[in-house]
Amino acid sequence: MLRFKKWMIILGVLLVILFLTGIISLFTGAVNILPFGMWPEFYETIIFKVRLPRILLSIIVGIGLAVSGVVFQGLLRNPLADPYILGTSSGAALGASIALLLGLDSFVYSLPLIAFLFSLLSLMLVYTISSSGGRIQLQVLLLAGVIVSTFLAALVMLIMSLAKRETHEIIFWIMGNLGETNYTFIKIVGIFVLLGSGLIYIFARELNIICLGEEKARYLGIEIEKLKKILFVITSLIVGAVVSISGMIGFVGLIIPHILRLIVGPDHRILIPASALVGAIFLIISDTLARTIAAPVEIPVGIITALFGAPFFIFLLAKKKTKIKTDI
Amino acid sequence: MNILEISELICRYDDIIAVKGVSFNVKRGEFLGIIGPNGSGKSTILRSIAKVLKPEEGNIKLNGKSIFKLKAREIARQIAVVPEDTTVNFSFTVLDIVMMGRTPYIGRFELEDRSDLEIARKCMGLTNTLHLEDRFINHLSSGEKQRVMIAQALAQEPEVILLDEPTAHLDINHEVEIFDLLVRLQKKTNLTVIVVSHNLNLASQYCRRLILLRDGKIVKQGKPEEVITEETIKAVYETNVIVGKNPKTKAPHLILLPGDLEK
Repeated sequence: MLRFKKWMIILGVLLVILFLTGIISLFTGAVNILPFGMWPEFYETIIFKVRLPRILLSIIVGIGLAVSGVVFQGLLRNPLADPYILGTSSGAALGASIALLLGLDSFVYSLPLIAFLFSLLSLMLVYTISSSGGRIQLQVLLLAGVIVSTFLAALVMLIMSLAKRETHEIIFWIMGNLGETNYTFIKIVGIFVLLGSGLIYIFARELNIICLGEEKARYLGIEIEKLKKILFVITSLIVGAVVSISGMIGFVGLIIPHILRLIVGPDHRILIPASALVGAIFLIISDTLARTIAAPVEIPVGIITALFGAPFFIFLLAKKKTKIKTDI
Repeated sequence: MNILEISELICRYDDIIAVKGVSFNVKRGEFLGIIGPNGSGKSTILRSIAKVLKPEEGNIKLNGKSIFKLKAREIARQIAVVPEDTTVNFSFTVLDIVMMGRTPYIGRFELEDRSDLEIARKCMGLTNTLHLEDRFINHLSSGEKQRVMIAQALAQEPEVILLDEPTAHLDINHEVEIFDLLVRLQKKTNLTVIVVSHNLNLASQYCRRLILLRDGKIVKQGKPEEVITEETIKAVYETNVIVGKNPKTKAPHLILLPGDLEK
């Protein structure tokens, strides 16, 4: 059908943009490197040891946040849903704060691991609160997520006010950072994100039908409780993995799905892959800005995404006010 | 032949018993109306038949087979439901929406094929929505949207279609349009139609049989002229009415009386 052809073209174009953005980012930074001419030896170190891993991580985190944003907004039929809505990020932040406070971060893997475990714990807490008789009640789920988040955020604040020395590190972690990484992290988180996104894509058609409401989806023969559980578990693992390594990078999971819904429409079969690619592109650009605009000082990337994301989103809202009202 | 057999149905929401032992059969190709005051259990029965609500007791047989032994997908191929609230907040096209009706037939790793598209188009033709194909569902009028939702239900190629208050939010011209459409479908394709409605005049005009509920029990069932009588309505709704006849169609017609008229 014609539509599938159009989708392939959209994805093709986005892939090319992603590739070009990655290349440009690779040669931009505190030290501008030209891809030709004579290279001193440390250029290679900068490119392959510093910038490339960051770009790869940006891609993975961008995909993970955008895809889970699409899923949460679709599943909850709530335009304000984002990947952090179920308390994952606050859980991870608490885990990270505790690890930093106790000095457990000397071993390079322990901080992300503790953050990941805490994010899953907070999620389990949210699910337990909101499920009754084997069914997840979405409205309760949202409320529980907000309340658990607030509670955990208060604990993080408590730790920060008690700890003097580590406060700066905790703040830096919470604000999101793609700088401290290595290829092992990238591989592990990459598996979570790519495998998870692939699995989610299998349910793209079901996600479309859920847009009609849970009851109608049931009338169309969809076993919705099972579907909700599968999707929540997959997205939670993705978000947990992403947050544990990059901190809280806001706005990507919230606005990218919205923007793509305006451009490619609400069909999840195109919305999921297109959001994934744009999420990756957006995060590469944001991280490149984060490490260049105030170089040699680095700005947390979460600040950049919000700083640029919010005005852009307001611009879109103002431009398409009537349309957005009806389209979510 | 009975397509649906409902026996001794009891449904409960937490501590409220919404349906208290209801039994009735539905014949293939029948046009049945379920009527009654708010909270009498109409929608609960409908949702039980579609197996989205698990009754506490009782059995429901579809073509002689208990629905509790059927998978959701199998039921969706035989029973389609148009729920009362059909708001869609996402800008899917009308064709997208109708194609979703093919869900129970499409496997996880399959794409919808040409025959699905043909069926969707045929159903849009039947409901006079073909010209809306590329319009967004959230930009349609209520009457158009309801016709699209019926087209989606028909795309499930069901044997039974259940409609919950299909004209609750419509103007009178659309009320007539929707019911005319349902009668046409029932005659043309031998579809079994079950409508839940609180509009007694519409129900009495279009349904061949009515089931009147009160407090989760059947008060009366039969032809409209047997069910819509002054005494029954007075007993069930606790209000005074005159039952006349539609001068053209002779169907029972309810005329409401203001409460202070008696004095």
